[in-house]
Amino acid sequence: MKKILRHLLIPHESNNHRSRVLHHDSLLLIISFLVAGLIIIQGTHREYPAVLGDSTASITVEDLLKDTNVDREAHGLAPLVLNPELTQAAQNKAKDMFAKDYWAHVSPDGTTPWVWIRAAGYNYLYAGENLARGFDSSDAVVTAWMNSPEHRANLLSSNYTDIGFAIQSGILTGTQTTLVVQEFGSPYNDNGTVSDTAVTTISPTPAPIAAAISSQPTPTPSAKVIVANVQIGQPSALAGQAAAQNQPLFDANSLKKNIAYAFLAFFLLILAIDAIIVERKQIVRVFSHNVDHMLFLLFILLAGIIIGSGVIL
Amino acid sequence: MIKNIKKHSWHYLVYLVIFGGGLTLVVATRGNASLQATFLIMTAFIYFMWSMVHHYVHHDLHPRVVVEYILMVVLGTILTLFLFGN
Repeated sequence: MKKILRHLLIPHESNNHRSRVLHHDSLLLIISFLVAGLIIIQGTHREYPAVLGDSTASITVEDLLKDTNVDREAHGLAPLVLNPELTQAAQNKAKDMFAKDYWAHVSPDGTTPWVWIRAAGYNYLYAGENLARGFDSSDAVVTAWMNSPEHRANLLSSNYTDIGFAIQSGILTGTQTTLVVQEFGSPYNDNGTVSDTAVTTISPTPAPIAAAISSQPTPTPSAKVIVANVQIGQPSALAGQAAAQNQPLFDANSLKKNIAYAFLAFFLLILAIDAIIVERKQIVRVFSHNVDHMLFLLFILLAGIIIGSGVIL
Repeated sequence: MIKNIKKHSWHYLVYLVIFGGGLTLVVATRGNASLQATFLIMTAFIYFMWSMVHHYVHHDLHPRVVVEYILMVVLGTILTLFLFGN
């Protein structure tokens, strides 16, 4: 066993002073296995989503709400209350983002977040929206928002009393992702005025929002008219339970990323061992481009970390 | 190995610029997987081109060297595909 491992991993006479896994035929074999693995994973993902699917289990409404309120209470603010209308608005917004394939506060047809909030039957005095995608835990989502001044301003605004979340998985702008929509609001009363607040990165059409942020009082929309246009889905609690029951056995995204990281780490280690031994023993050979390859694989690893980290908007 | 890097410091400077540029583009296109994948594959291809020029200048552009770089670039590209969702 020891001899086999040495033959495979350590430069030695038995492998012509080059780790066996770095020989051309071995690399070709590993590449073939990886291609076959990728095809099998994609096929299983498509045909058997209950076994290998898209999991959102690591991000939950409960944890997002808890983490948000922990941060608010730490800053002397009242906790936000989970609101069914804002939850419905967040879910409709998330569905719209997947359906129209956009990653923005304002949809390509100009629909602002406030349209979803009003459409869900929530007449607001103040409203706001935070978005996140590609995170693998509730804590990471809230931490990222807290580290961004604009999103932090929403999380720690004393103007809001209610909150709603949507956590949905799907293909967005070409990649499988878990999307988190967070809608804030405080209800309108007859003495108040309507105004919108939003993160400043609300592109691509900031002009209407800038107008909406204006302190000029504008009349509140008629709840009856708006609600008439909305198909209210199942209650959020039930939706949450249904989502929990639909979690796959394995998460396809995590599986693929873990395989990639494992292979990158393995090859970086083998190339480093090979380079050190060859350098120490002063072995002369045509194939000694380990540093080039290590930097290349390190580049892929760093890119993977960037790709794997979430994005907020 | 270290001597080789010192001897061809300009080559390796270009090499680092290629990867630095690739990473910058990946960061700049966060949220757009298609563009990120395109930039990663382009960077891998430019790495291959760099290696060919490097070994040509170094007078050791052996066919087996070409095969080695092709295999590493293909391996990196396949692993890149694993890093993306679908």
